[in-house]
Amino acid sequence: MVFIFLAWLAVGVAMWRGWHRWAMLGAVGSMALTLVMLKIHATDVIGLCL
Amino acid sequence: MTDDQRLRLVLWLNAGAVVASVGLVFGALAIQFGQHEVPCPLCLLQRLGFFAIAAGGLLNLRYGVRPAHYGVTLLGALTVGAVSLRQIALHICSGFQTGQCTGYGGAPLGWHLYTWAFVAAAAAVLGIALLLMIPTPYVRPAKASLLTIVVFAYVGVAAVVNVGAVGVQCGVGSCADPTYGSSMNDPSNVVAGLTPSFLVPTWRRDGEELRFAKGGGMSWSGSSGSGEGAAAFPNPTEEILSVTGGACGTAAGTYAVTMATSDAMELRLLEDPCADRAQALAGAWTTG
Repeated sequence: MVFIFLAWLAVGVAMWRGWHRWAMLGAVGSMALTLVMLKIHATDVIGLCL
Repeated sequence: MTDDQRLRLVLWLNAGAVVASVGLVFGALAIQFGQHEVPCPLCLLQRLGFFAIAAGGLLNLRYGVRPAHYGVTLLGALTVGAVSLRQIALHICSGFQTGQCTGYGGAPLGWHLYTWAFVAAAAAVLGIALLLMIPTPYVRPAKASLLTIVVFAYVGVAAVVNVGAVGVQCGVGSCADPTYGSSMNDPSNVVAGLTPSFLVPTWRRDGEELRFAKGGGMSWSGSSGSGEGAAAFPNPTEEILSVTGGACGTAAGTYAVTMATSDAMELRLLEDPCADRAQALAGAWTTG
C-alpha cells in the first residue's frame, strides 16, 4: 500500500518539475494500481448483493 | 466576462476543488490520530482516490486547463466511487458473510436495478473522462503562480504525512483489516501491528497496569503479580484473548474482550488453565 502512496508522491514531484507526460502517465498508472489493490482487498465485490 | 477572467475563475475553482478534496484526506488523518481509529484498507484506497481527484486540479494549475486533466479527476472520482461502493455494500448487506443477503426488488439479468443504474452511471463517467482526455489547445502559464505554489505545498504535506502514516501502519506490504474493531486501543489491533507503537495504550485499574505489543507480546503488573506473556486472538469472529506464559496465579487463560468504548475494556475469564487461582486480568480496564 505504501508504494502506491509513494507513486502518487512521485506523480506530484513530476508535476511540479514540469514533466507533464510523466505526471499524466504516473497518475493513470497509480490509479490502475489503486484498483488492483481494490481487487486484492475485495475479491468478491461482484456478486454479493448486486 | 473576458477570456482572462474566465480562466482565472476556472483556476480558482480548480484550486478550491483540490483544497476540498485533500481536505477530506486531512479530516481522515485527524480522525486517525485524534480519535485513534485504524483506517481500513478500503479507507486508504479512498484516500488515494481523493489524491487522484486533486491531481487533475493540480495539473490544470501547473500546465493550464486541459480536458485531459479533467479526465484524471474523473478517473479519480471513479476510483473513489468504486472503493466506497464496495465499502457501502459491506455494511448494507447484513447477510454478506453468510451469502444470504436479499436485495430490493427484482434482479433482471442477475443484478438489481440499482446496481444496473450504478453501472450505467459509472460507464457514463468513464466515457466523459475518455472524451475529455482528447488533447485540445490550451494556455500554459509561463511560471507557477503564488496560488499554484500554495496549493502544491498543501497537497505535498498531505501526501508526505500519508506516506508516513501508511508506512507505520502497514509496512511495505498490503494492509491488514482490523478484525474486531477499529479502535487503535483495541488489543487485537495492537497485537496485529495496526496501532503505531507511539499510540499503544497502557491499560490501568487500581494501581495495576496491562500493556500489549505488536506481535503478541504483553506485560502486566500490580498487586496480583507481574510478568510477561503472549497474547493471541485465535477466534476469527469473536474477540477472544488467549494469554499464554507466566506462572499459575498470574494471567494465563482465555478471556472474552469487550470494548465498551475505545478507552474502556472488559476482560471476562472463559477458561483458566490453573483452576485454583484468581482471575488476574479479568475485569474492567481503562486507558486513563
